[in-house]
Amino acid sequence: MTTTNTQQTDIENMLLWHQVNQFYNQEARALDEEDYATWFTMLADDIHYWMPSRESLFRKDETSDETGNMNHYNESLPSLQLRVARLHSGAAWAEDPRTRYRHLVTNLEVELGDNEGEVKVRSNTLVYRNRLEREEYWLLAKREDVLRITDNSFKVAKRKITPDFSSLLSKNLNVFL
Amino acid sequence: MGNIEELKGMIDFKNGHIDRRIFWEDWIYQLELEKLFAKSWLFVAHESQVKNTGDFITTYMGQDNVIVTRHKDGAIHVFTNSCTHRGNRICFADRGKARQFTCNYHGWAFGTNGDLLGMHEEEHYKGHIDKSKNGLQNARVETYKGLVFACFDDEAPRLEEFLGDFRWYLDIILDQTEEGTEFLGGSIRNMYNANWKFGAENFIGDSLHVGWTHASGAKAVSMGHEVPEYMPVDPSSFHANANGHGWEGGIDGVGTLELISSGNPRLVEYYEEQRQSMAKRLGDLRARKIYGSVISATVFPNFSFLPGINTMRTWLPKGPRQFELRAWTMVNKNMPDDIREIVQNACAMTFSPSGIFEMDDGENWENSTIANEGFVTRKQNLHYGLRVGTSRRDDPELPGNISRPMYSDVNQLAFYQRWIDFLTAESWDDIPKVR
Repeated sequence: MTTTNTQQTDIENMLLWHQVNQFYNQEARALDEEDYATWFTMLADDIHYWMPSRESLFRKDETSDETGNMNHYNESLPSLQLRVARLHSGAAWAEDPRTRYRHLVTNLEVELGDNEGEVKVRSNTLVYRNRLEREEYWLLAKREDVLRITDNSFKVAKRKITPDFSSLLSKNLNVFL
Repeated sequence: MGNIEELKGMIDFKNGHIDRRIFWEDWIYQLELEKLFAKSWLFVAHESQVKNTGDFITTYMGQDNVIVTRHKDGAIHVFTNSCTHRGNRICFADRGKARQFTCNYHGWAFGTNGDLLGMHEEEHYKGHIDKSKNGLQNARVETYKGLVFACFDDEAPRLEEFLGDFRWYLDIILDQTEEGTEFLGGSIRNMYNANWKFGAENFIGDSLHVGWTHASGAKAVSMGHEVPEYMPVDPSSFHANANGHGWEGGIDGVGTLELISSGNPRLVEYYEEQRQSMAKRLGDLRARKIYGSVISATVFPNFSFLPGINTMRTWLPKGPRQFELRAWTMVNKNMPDDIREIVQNACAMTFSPSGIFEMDDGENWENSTIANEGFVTRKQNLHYGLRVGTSRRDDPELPGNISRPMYSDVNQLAFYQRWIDFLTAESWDDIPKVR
C-alpha cells in the first residue's frame, strides 16, 4: 500500500498534535509538583504570560481584552521567577502544608503559527486545588498559546489565559494555569 | 439574639480587648447592615468609571446592590438595583452604558436617575399606578476629588464632615496633580470566607503583620539581598486616625516605590521629577516624605487603599463569614504610559489575588474567622492592646489622632470605636461628629 500526500499530511499533523500533547502533559506535571525549575525551561525567554480579569457585560458592551485593563497576570519570565521566589523563600507560611494541585489540559487544537517555527495551540484547562481540611477550588480557563519549536520539544512564547469566572471564588490565585 | 448593651461590652478600649463574637455572630452582622452600612457614607465608584451620560457600574452598599450611573443632567445617581414591581434585579452587568434599565421580568423600565419611565403593555396600568411614586430608591451622592460616595441616610452629615481631618491624608493620593486621578479599566474581584472587618482593620493599622505575614514576598522582591530578621522601628512612623478613618506608615518617601520597582529605577525617578510640583499642592511633608513610603489606609467602614501601589478596594460583606474584595488600580490622569504600566503590573504582582503579598493575607483572615466556630475558642477575647491610649490630637504637623511609631493597635481600636458608635446609635444624632 502506498501513502498518499493527504495521508502523509494527516500523519504529520497527528505527530505534531501528539508532541504538543506530550509537552502539555509534562508542563502540567511540573506545575502539579511545584517543579518550577523544569517549568521555566519550558518557557521562552521572551514569554508574555497574560491572564486578564473578566467582568459580566451586556453583549453590546463587550470589547476585546486589553493588557491596559486589570489583569490577574501580565508577566515576563523574570516576573514569573519573582513570583516563584516567594514560594521558595522559606517563609511562605500560607503554603505550608502544601496545596494539592492537579492540572488537566484538554481540547487541544493545533495549527501552524504566523511565524516559521511556531505553532498556535488552543486548549482548555481545569485546575483543581485542595488545601488543609476541606478547602477545594476549581478553575476553568481557555488557553491560547504560541509555542516555539525547539530541537526536541517546544517553548511557550505566548500564553493568554481567559478564565471562566468574573469574581475569583477563592481567597487567592496561588497557581499558574 | 443579643442586644445593644451586650454589644457595648464587647470591646474594651481601655485595655485593648475584643470579643470574638463581633467577627462571627449573625445578629451582630444584621446590626451592621442596618446601623452601619445603611447609615454611613460608602465608597461606590471613581468618577472616571461613570465619565459620560449613561455610563454605569453596579456595586454594593452593604448587601444592597446599587447602580451608579451618570444621568443626562450630568449628576451621578446611585439607586437600588431591584424592580419596584416584583423585586427582580434590573441590571445584571458589572459596568457598561445604558439609556435606561429594563427589568427582564415584566419590562418595567427605569431611567438613569432611578425614575420609573414605563412598562411593557402600559395601557393596562392606566389609573392603577402613579409612576412618580414607584421609582428606585436613590441614595445621597457626593464626591471627594474623584471618589464617589453614597449614603442611604438623610440625616447623615455632608461627606466632607464625615471624612473630616482624613481629607488631609486622602489628598496625598487624590490631589497630586491639577488633572486628578482615574481608575484603569476593569476590576479584580475575589471571595474570602472571612469577616469583612479583618480586611478593613488590616489596612487601617496592621504594620506588624507586614514583616511576618509578608516575609516571603519581601524576600522575593529583595532579589537575594538580606532581609533583616527584625525590622528597625522608625520612631517617626505613625498611626493617624480621624472619625474612624485611618492611615499608617512611614515618612522615608521611598519604601513603597522601591518595593514595587523590582530593581527598575524608572518609577522612583518619575516621582522624583514630580515631587516639586506635588509639593506646591501638598507641601513638602506630604509630597516628599509621606508619599512613597510604605503606607496603608482605610476610609471607614470598608474602603481601603495603598498609596504608591495605588490599589483601591472595597471589602463588600456577604454575611458575617464571607466578603468579596473588589479592587481597582488608580493612576494620575497625566501619567505617561510606561509609568501606568509599571503601577498596573505592580498591583498585580503585589496586591491582587495572585500577588506575592496579598496571597498570604487571605489564609490569615479566613482562619481568624473560622476558628470562632469553636464555642470555647470563641469565648476567649483577642488582644488589641499594643500602645493602646497613646494617640494625641495636638500634633504640630499631622491632623487627626496621632500615635508613633506605627507598630500599634491604635488605629484598629479607633476603627472599632467608630464601629461601636454606629452600631449603638439610634440615629446620626447619637454619633459623635468628630472622633
